[in-house]
Order: sequence, then C-alpha cells, then structure tokens
Amino acid sequence: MAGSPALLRLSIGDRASLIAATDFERTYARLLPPICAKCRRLLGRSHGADDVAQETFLRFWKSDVRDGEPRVVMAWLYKTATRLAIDVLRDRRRTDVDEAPEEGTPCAVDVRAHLEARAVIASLAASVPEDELSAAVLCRVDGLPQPEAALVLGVSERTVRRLLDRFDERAAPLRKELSS
Amino acid sequence: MTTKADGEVSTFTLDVYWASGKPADATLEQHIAGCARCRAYLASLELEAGRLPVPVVPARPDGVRPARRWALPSAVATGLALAACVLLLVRGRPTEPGYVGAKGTPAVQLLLHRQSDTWIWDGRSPVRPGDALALRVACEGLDHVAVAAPGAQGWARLSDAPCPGPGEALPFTLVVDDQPGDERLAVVLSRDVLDDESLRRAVVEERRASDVWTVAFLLTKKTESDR
Repeated sequence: MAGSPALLRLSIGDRASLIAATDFERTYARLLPPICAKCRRLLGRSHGADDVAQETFLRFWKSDVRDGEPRVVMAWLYKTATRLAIDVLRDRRRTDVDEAPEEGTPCAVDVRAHLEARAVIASLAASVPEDELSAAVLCRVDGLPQPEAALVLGVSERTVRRLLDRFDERAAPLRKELSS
Repeated sequence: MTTKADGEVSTFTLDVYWASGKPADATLEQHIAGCARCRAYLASLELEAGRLPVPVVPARPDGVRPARRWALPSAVATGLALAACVLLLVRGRPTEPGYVGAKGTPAVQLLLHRQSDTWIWDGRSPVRPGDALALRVACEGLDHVAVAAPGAQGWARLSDAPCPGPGEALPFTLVVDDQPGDERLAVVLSRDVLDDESLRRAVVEERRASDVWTVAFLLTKKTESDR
C-alpha cells in the first residue's frame, strides 16, 4: 500500500461499501434512541435495557426488514425489543415498582398507569404467555392504541383485545394487592 | 398517523416520525407544536442520539441489500457521533486504539474493507493484501487533511485536500499490497496547507497543536507466507 502515490487507487466499488458503512451509522443514530426509550419504559434505565436495545438493532441490521417503510421497520423493532425485554424481565425476577418513569414520556402515556402496568408485568412475566405479555407491554406500558399494537404483533385488533382481556384476568388479583 | 380517541399521539407514531426525519402530516405537526410532553419526548430522543457511541459496523450478511437511507432532520447527531470516541458496543471497554481523539478534538477513523464487509479498524487486527482502507476525519475547526506514507525519500504526501463534510470518507481508498512488512500511514489535519518539510516534521514529531493535528497508524500485515 504505502510508499508511492501510484498505489493510491480510486475504487468505486469500495466507495459504495464505505457509503454503506456510513448508512449504518446514520441508521443507528436514527433508530437506536427510540429503541432505547422503548426498552427503558419497561426495564427502567439499566444495562439490561441498553443491551436489549443494541441486540434489537443488530438483529434488525442483519435482517431483510431494512428496506421497509418506516412504520414497518418501527413495528419490527418494537416487536423484537418487546420480546427480548420480556426475556430479561423473566430472568430478572424482580419488579421495578419504585423506579421513576423515563424522562420525556409522550402525552399518550399515562404515567401512573404506565408504572402500575410495568410492576404488574414484571411480577407476572414468568407465568404469563409471551403473546399476552407483549400485548400488555405495547398497550399499557408503551401506550399504543390497539390498531398499532396489532400492526406490531402482526395480528388482528380483535386478537389484541382478547390477549389484553386474558392478561387483565390474570393480573386482577395482583392489581388488588398492589392497590391495597 | 395514529392517534388515540382523545387526540393524543402514540409513542409509536412519534418514534416513526423522529426516525424517518421527514416532515409529518399537518395534524401531527400541529399536535407536536402544541404538546409540551411530545416535544420533550422528541427532544429526549435527540439528546440520546448525541450520546450514542459510534458503533462498530458489523459484517453485512451475504444477500442482504444495502440499507434504506433514513433522512437526517439534523446533522447534529452525526456530527456528535463522529466527534465522539469510537467505543465498542460492549460497555466498559476502553477506547479503541485505532482511533485517536476525544470529543471536541480532531479525530480520524480508519475503515477497513475486506471482501464484502466494511468495519472500523480496531487498532490491532492485522491487515491483509487486497484490503482496502479508507479514512474518515472529524476536522474540528481545521481545514486541510493530508495523508502521508513512508517512501524511499522519507514520508511522502499521498493526498492533500480540504476537509470533507461530516461523516464523509476521504475520496480514495488505499489498497494493501502483498509485500511483507508492516504498513505505516499518517493523517495530518491542519489549518493551512503544509509544505513538504512542515508535513514531514508534523508526522515525525506526531505534532498535535491548535493548528496541526497528526494521527499515525501502524498496521501489521499478514501475508500468505505468514499463514
């Protein structure tokens, strides 16, 4: 390589790959913050949340979803991050009832309901099926309306309602306990 | 966009809006303009983007098409990311030796392209014949960037050009030859164009001052005979 300007080569093919590397950083800079915020809404500001966010992004980068429309991409990220975060919750075996909500929650997130839902989900994570937990995380913690939760989960709105009803049935005794 | 019955905008919708970097429909823009909580949320995403470490580019799996380009509503995130230290995604790992610089100081990244993959050189891994190297710089107020390598007469200037825009690689690649021996490379950022002697001195002394900033690379090379 070194030693002579004659060895300096212009290579269009290599430039294209380098542009792709820049794309990676730009995409990372645009997508990781929302994923981090999403993971922290459920897991609190923790190493676990950041690890899940990064794992989600790396899976995304290796997937074929990358060329999708922004809503499709975000739906994929939400779904993957939700499932990975549930795995972390199941391993953690503790609740984060006392943790404050993330800074800067949008208007659609009811902070009090969000905190209660997070505590209930953390407590039930080990015993409730993943699809019910996912629906609860998306609608109760992230504050998504049911049509968006359906888009993320790839199911019908009716199915989302059914999953939430089941989750609420399981959560009812715990909610009573928490409120008392 | 999706709103709840009471006109609230969902987190998902805000995330799509922020990540796409494009103007939204009038209803959403109007909502954001009038909603302090949503504005605070979007501001927190912007802040988070500024804190991100620059990632190591993972290998691109075969058969995957190039990434869709997401428009940037602000160059701030990229500028900060480029100026920030190159950290591996693994928390707690020290700053990579392949990078020299801290936030606010000039910095140089060496990108290594091999077969179909491109990644940021880690400062240790040997290069191989055929590898293509590219350089990205954060000039931080300096105006010119020169690249030099050792030649028969000492350090020789390979290129000299104005600093490129944020996030852009210098407009050439260096291809590693198959001759045995390590490769050395120096990047000199300066306020003014340096004459040959000033460039040589800057490289030899690895000078770092307000008007000149030198970053030297030593790359071990693994040839067929080493394997």
